[in-house]
Amino acid sequence: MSQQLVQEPNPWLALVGIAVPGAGHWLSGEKQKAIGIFLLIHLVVLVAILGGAAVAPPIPPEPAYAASLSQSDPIGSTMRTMERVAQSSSGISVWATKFMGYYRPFDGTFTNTFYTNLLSLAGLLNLLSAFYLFDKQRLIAKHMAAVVANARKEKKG
Amino acid sequence: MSHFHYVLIFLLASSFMAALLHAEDRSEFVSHFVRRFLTPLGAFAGVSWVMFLLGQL
Repeated sequence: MSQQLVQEPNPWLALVGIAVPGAGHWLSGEKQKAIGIFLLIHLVVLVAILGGAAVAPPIPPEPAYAASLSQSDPIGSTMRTMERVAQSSSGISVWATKFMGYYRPFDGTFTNTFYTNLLSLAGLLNLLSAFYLFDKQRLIAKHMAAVVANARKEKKG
Repeated sequence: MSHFHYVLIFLLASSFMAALLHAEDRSEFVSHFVRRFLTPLGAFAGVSWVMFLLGQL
């Protein structure tokens, strides 16, 4: 039983289980719940995207507000400026492009971002497996404690 | 110390820790450590050279 518990899962399957809403429930046999979660998450995301577009004001704000120069609301003004800066990077693809180093040609040195980032991902994978293996040690200790408790109970009874 | 060195130290430390937790004995530790640390580095070196040579064409 403990052997089944501590068996390392297929990492690609684990990735699917994390990335696809409801996949974990589907894999554990709760198909109805999985379909429900999948539909619910997609509904929420679609409502957030389409609803946001639907309720966006058609009237432009005043120029001082738009330029983040409103003296009466310095904190809100700063937050709007920061939001605009964040939005100007226009999404995850720009981040991914920068992260993977597509903006710089390969130069055959250690300053290349692409492979350095792949190496750091390998390190993160090692870190994750270290946490998993800590949990494996915990499960083994728990199983041993149960075995010892059973043995004691049988000895008494 | 460049960013690369920090990444390298991180990979070294994390692969050491994971191999230590994964292995039952010394030989198993060595094989796990090689798999977790030297394989990504080897891939890095190999693919880097391939890309460099392709760039020279």
